[in-house]
Amino acid sequence: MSEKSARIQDNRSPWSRFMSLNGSAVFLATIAVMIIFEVYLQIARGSGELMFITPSNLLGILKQQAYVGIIAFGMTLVMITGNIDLSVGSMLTMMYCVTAWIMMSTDNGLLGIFGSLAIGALCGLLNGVLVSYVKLNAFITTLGTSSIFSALALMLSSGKVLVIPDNCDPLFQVMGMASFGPLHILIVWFVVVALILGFVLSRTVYGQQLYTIGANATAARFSGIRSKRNTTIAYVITGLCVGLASVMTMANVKSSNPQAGSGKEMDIILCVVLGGVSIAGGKGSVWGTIIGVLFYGVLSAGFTQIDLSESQKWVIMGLIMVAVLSFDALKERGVKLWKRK
Amino acid sequence: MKKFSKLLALLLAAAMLCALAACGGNGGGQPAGGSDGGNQSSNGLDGKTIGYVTINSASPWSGVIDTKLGEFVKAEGGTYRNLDAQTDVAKVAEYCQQMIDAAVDALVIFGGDPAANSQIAKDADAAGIPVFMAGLDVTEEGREYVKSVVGPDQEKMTYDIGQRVIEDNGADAGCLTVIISGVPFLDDYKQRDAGFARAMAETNYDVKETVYAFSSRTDAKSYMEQFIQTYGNDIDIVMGMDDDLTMGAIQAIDEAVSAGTLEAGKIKVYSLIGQNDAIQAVKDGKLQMTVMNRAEDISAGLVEDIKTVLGGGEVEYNHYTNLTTIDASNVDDYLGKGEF
Repeated sequence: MSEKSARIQDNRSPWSRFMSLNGSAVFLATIAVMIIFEVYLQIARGSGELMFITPSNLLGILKQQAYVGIIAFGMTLVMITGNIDLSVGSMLTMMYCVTAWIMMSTDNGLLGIFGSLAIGALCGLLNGVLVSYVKLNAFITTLGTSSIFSALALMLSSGKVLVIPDNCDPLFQVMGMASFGPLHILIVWFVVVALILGFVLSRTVYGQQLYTIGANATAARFSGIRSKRNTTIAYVITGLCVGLASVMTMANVKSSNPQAGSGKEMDIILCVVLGGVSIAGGKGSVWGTIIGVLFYGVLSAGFTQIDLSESQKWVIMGLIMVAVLSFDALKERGVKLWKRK
Repeated sequence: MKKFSKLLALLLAAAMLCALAACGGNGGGQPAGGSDGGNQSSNGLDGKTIGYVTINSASPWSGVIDTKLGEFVKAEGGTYRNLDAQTDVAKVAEYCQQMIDAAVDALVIFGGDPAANSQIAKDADAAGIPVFMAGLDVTEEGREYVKSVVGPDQEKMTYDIGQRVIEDNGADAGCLTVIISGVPFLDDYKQRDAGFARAMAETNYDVKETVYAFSSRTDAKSYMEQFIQTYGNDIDIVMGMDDDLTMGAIQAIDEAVSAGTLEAGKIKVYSLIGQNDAIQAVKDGKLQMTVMNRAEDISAGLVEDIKTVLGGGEVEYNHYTNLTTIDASNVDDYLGKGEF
C-alpha cells in the first residue's frame, strides 16, 4: 500500500492524528505550564507585559538546555535500539576535564575541539563494543564505564577546579560564546544536531534499521540488519554528542571540576523518555526529544522564576513528570480518558 | 568469538579495577591501601595508621583535604587509608565501621550525618580509637567521644559575610537578594546557608529562595540568567556559597551587561572559598569579596591534633582554621595564591 493511499484511508480527526504523535501529550503540557507560569507571574508581579512567554526567556531556556538536548539526541538513537547509556553524566564530567586540560596545556582551539570530539567518540565506541559485540548488559556495562569515566575525571583534575584562561584561543571561544543576532551559538548547535540526527533517524536506511533493531532484535538479525555495527554506531554518535556538549560548555563557562556533570544522565534520560522514546526500544523521534528537552527546560526555569524552594521544585517536578508519562502510557495502551457523548 | 568476548569482559573488569586503584580510595569504598610512607624524615606518626572516611572527595575543596591529609600523614611516617562514600550518607557509617574493624590508630571523618557520626564516635571510643572531625561537628550526644573538630566555622563564616553585606548596603535597604548554593544535602552547604540566613534575618531584605547548582558552574550560570530574566535591574545582591558557582553567576551578569539588559555595576556579588579566578574577579571589581578558606589548613590541623592525642596530649575541641577576607583593600596580596 502506498503512503498516499494510506493517508487517504486515515479518517481520524486532525486532533486524533496529533495525539497519536510521539510526545504530543508533553507538547500540550509544555504549552499549559508556560501559560500557568505566565499567569502566576502576572498575578504576583503584574507589569501588564508578558513576563514568561517572551522570546528572550524562551531563547534563554533553549540556550540553557542546549547541551543537555544535544546529548539527549544521541541518547535517543541508543534508546531506540532498546539499549541505554548510563555513563553520559560521568562521560560529560570526564570530557569537561579533558577539554579544559587540553586547552590549559596547549591553548590550541583546533586540538581542543577535535581532541574532545575524538575522545568522546572513543568513549562511545567502548560502550558500543561492550554492549554489541561482547553482549554485556547495557545497563550494567554503562554503569561500569561510568565509574571508569568518573575516576579518570578525578585523576585528570587531581580533584581541583580546572579553569581555562579567559584569553584562550578565539577559535575555541567561538564554539560557546558567539551570537548570530538574538541566536546564541549554543542554540545553533542544538538546532544543527537536531536536524542532522532527525534526518538520520527519519530519512536514512540506518535510522530505519535502528527502529527495527529496537522493535525486534531477532527479526532484525534475520532480515540481514547488522545490529551490532548499527548499535555501536549509535553509541559512538552519543559519545560524539557528549564531546560536542563538552566543547560548547567549556567554551562558554571555561571551568570544570570532577563533579561538574555528575547526575546529568538522569536529566538526559528524563528528557528522552518525556519525548516519547520507549525504554523498551523501537519507538521515538528527535522531534519528540526536542519537546522533552523544552518541557524540562520550561519547568526548571519556571520554578526558579516563580521562586519555589528546592524541595517544592522536586516534588512538583516529580508529580508533573509522573502525570505526563502516565497520560502517554495510557494513550499508548489505547485507553481513552474521555469519550464523546 | 566467545573467547574474545570473555577476554574483553576480563579486560574491562581489569580496567575498572585499575581506574579505582589509580584514584586512591575514591572508587566506591576500596581502601587505598595506604603507602608505607616510612621514608620521610619526620616521625611524629611512625608506625601509626590513620583512617579517613569522607562523604565525597570529588569536589575540589574536599579533594584537597583528602590529598593533603594523605601527604601530611605520610610525611610524618604514618600510613594513610581513605574511603570515599561518594555522597552516600549511609556509606559513611559503613566505612567508618570498616576502619574501626581494621583497628586504625586514629579515625578522621569528613561529612555525613552528624547523629550517625555521634554513634560512630562512641563505637570508635569503645574500641580505643580517637576520632577527629574534619570541618563538621557531630550532634551533642557524640561530643564526649570526639577529640576535636578541625575546620572553619562555616556558619559563622557566612554570617560574617552577611554582616559585611549589611555594612556595605545598610540593614533596611530592602535589597533584592539571590543566593546560589551547592549541594542541598551536604552539611557544609547547609551550615553556610544557615549562617547567611541568620544574618539576613536581621534585615528587611527581599531574599529569594536559594537555588542549588550542585557542583556545576553551568547550572549556576543558568540560574543567574533566570534571575536576571525575572528581576533584571531590581537585583541588588548575589551571594554565592562557593567561588566556582559564583563565577558562573558573574559570567551571566557580564553577558547581560554586554547585551544591555543589565546596568553595569548595579549588582554586588559576595562569595567564599578563595579560588584564583574569584580573587582575580575581586581585583577586576566584579566581586565584592571572597573568604579564603584553605582546605590544606584543615589537613594540617588534623595531623597536628592527631599527633598530640596519640602522643598522650590534650587538644581543644574546636580547632578553628584561618579565614582570610579578600576584598579590594588587600586583593593584590593574594592574586594567584588560591588553592585552585
